Amino acid sequence: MSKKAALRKTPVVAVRTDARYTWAFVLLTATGLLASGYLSYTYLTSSTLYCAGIGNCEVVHASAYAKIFGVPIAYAGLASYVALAALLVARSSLDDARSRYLAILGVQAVAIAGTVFSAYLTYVEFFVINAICPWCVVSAIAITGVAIVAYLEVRAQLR
Amino acid sequence: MRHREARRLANYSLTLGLIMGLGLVLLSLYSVNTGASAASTEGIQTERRGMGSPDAKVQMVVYFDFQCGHCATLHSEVEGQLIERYVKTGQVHLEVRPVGFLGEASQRAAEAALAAADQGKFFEFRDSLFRGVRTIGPAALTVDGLKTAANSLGLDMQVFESALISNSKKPELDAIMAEARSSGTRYVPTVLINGQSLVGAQPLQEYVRVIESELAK
Repeated sequence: MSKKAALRKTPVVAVRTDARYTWAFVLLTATGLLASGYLSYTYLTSSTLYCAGIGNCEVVHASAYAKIFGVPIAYAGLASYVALAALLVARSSLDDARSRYLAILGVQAVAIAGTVFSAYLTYVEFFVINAICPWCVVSAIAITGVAIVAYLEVRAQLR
Repeated sequence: MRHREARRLANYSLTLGLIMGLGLVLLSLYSVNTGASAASTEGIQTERRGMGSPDAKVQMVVYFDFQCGHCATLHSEVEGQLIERYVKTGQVHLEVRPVGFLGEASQRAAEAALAAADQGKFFEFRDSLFRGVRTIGPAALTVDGLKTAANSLGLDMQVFESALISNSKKPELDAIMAEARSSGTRYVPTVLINGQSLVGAQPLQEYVRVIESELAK
């Protein structure tokens, strides 16, 4: 059988967005936006990070790991959540099934990158600088949640 | 979209995510290892806790606490550039005053820095502690962390440790803190430029603006 003929016989992916996934995405992305938004705000205004008596935010804030070449990683976190929000809007509103599917894959790629980087930062907090920033942990949990939901949704589309 | 193509794209997306994440980790590690720090004091006239010409037109005083995150930011991102631009050229005299506003570890570190100043290594010790706080956190400010920093700078350890144990630098620290309070300094970092107070780690341009306006007078 030729390649073209084999491809014609492959089942077509319908690409449907499930409301349960949508709600999970909204909740997790909003949480991440709030946490990374607050962290970015404290850098922009040079204000003290409110730690609620948990961990040691000032140490994490001042740590060499809190910035990449002088740019606070909180900004990168905020930018990635804004990108996720845009991709999620595209996932739910685009007419073309292929574009919707690509938007879901975009969410998956951004969230997996964020999860890998957050895992590294959480390791640094616990084992290198021995100080915890609860806002960073909340953001790490949110991005990991988005990655898991995105992965499950992609698998569901391929079933 | 065909099933096979969809599966292929899904795998690309997973791989792309992993590559981007690992790329960020590598960038971060590279950035930490090549991070910015205050300018060296090489070629600058230094006193106990001051540097630059004492007769300079602009007198700049920095109050800081070793446990304060914004103080570390000011030290690594602003101070070095101001030293290069104004202190080395004789336009600004910089005096650095450690305080212990944020607790026991801050006071211990400040006293240790004053003990290092007795041996002419205040600025080197301060750079070393801030670098330690940025890379290993509070451990840099424990007694062992302070001793490690002092030892690595070649200080006379007997004299240094004796100052730490006897708290012989406490009166000097208390005097600095009393002076800070009397000048209205309640928060760290606070920078006084010819008496004009800038609280918090402000952008470099803000310090430049005030210094330039003082120089123009």
